[in-house]
Amino acid sequence: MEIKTPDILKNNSLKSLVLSLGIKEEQEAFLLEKIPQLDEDERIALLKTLTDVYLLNMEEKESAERLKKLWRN
Amino acid sequence: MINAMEQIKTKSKESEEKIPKTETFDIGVEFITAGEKMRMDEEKERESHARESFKLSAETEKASVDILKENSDKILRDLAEEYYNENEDLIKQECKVYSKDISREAKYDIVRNLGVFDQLKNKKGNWTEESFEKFALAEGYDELRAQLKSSKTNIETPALILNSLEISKKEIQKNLDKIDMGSEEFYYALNGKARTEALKKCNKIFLTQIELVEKIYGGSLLGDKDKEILSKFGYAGQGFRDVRAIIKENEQDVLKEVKEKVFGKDWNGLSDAEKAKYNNNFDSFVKSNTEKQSDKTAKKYGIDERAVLALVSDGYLPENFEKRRKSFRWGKKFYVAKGEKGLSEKQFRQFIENHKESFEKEIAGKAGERAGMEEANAKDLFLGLKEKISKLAFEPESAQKEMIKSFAELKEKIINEGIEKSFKKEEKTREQLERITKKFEGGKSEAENFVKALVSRKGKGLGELTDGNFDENFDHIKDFMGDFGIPTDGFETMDAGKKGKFKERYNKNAKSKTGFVGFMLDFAESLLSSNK
Repeated sequence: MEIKTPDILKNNSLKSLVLSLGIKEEQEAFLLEKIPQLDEDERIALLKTLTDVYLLNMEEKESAERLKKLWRN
Repeated sequence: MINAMEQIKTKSKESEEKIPKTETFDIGVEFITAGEKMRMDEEKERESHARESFKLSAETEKASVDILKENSDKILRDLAEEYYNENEDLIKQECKVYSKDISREAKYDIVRNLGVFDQLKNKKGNWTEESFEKFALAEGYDELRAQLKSSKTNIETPALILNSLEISKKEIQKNLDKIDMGSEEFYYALNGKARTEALKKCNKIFLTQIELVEKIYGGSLLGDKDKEILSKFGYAGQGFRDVRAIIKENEQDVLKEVKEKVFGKDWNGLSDAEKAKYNNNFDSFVKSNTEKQSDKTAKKYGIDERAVLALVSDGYLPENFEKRRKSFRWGKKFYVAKGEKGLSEKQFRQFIENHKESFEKEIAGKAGERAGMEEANAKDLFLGLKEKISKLAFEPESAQKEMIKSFAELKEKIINEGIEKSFKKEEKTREQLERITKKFEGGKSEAENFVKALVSRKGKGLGELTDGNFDENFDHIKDFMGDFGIPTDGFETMDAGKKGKFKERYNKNAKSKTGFVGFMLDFAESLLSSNK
């Protein structure tokens, strides 16, 4: 019996994640075009990369907040 | 686009060779799969890359830690003093303080022991918003110190240190600039040893700031010559160093140049074997040559190394430098030049003395002139740098712009590396592509929700996670995976060694954000693979 593919790996789902990250336009366009051609292993690898970027986005936000909080004139 | 495609195609073969997907190492020795190991290495690499460029030199790190501590201590002591003074009677009564004059340090200890800082931490008690902010700033400075000590600095840390150092520098400068109003003449209020110490501290902060600015904004603020000038004059224009000491240093430089002028050509003409006789040391060569001319007899008439250099540079060359026009010699008669009338002993002594004197004067004159020029350059350089650093240290926008740039570079790098890894397969056939398209079509923004939930540890199952081990939390992890359609039954049939490794990894890393997220992604991957 074939296991149902989880939504997290489906085309629209991954595309939506790519679009939410605010990455460089050309990288974004490239990924959006290639996602439908990826098999499961490739999708998981991509999900991991996108998660790293998501974490970095969070770190960037936190850094800006810490900078604002501790900066003195 | 085309370039990226080409890049992926060419890189895909290399990646396949380098990255075995789920191959295991020797079972019984190590259960980490190559994929897991790679992931862990990448996490480490990403962290180290992110921070690598912000690593400070040991000297700068120490200076930064010291100043941050001072700033933090000052804030806490100011707050303690404020509290103590406002509640003095009550504190004296409560704490049985009998002494009239309590030192600032003692006030701090008393207030700290009363637990007053907990009020500030929890924003309670009769404090103003400004006091809460000051306390938060002290805590922030301590956090920056902790980061520096653990060598794990955030991207914004160097900019914050730069800012904090500037505040300290301004404070010290204010004290340095204070005038003694009690005096009729112009005197600084801060004098003697205290002034020297303050200047030294400013200089240390200034040099630390230069390195920080270079770390934050890249490039170099100073050329080699600038570095030399700065190390010589330090916090210039403030009497940081005694110019007389600098003139003395310059005299040595000028003397070295004279030696090079007089003996450089002869030295350069020596073979390697001959130079080796002098340990390849030019000064030894000069010493040896001048000693020949300032032997025991010569010393009797005041002919030492300086005298030889004075005479030689004036064109009075010793006998063994016959190729040159003039010469002098000693013995029964004293000649100052070939064909000239012999001098009496007294006249010869005077002749040597005069040459030495004018030589010394010339050296001192040149050294002084040079010091004057250097000091003027140092002042210009110092003032320019000071202005630039002050501007950057008080300009959060510039620091933020650089941070955004650094993060953008990191993201770009991660995506590019990810592309190389994700698109590692050979080109797919039309049938394969049709199958893939059908299998993965549609979908909602679940990937985004999955990542958000993981990172924030919120969502089904994750909210219930405890600080306990994997076994204690497995049901919650199962709930989370199940909620996103990832079957977890594969775990039951998983190889015992691999299971053990996952458990161990969870127990070790689950408390850190990146450790937890990395674990969950690898675990999900393993569960999905086991269901194929």
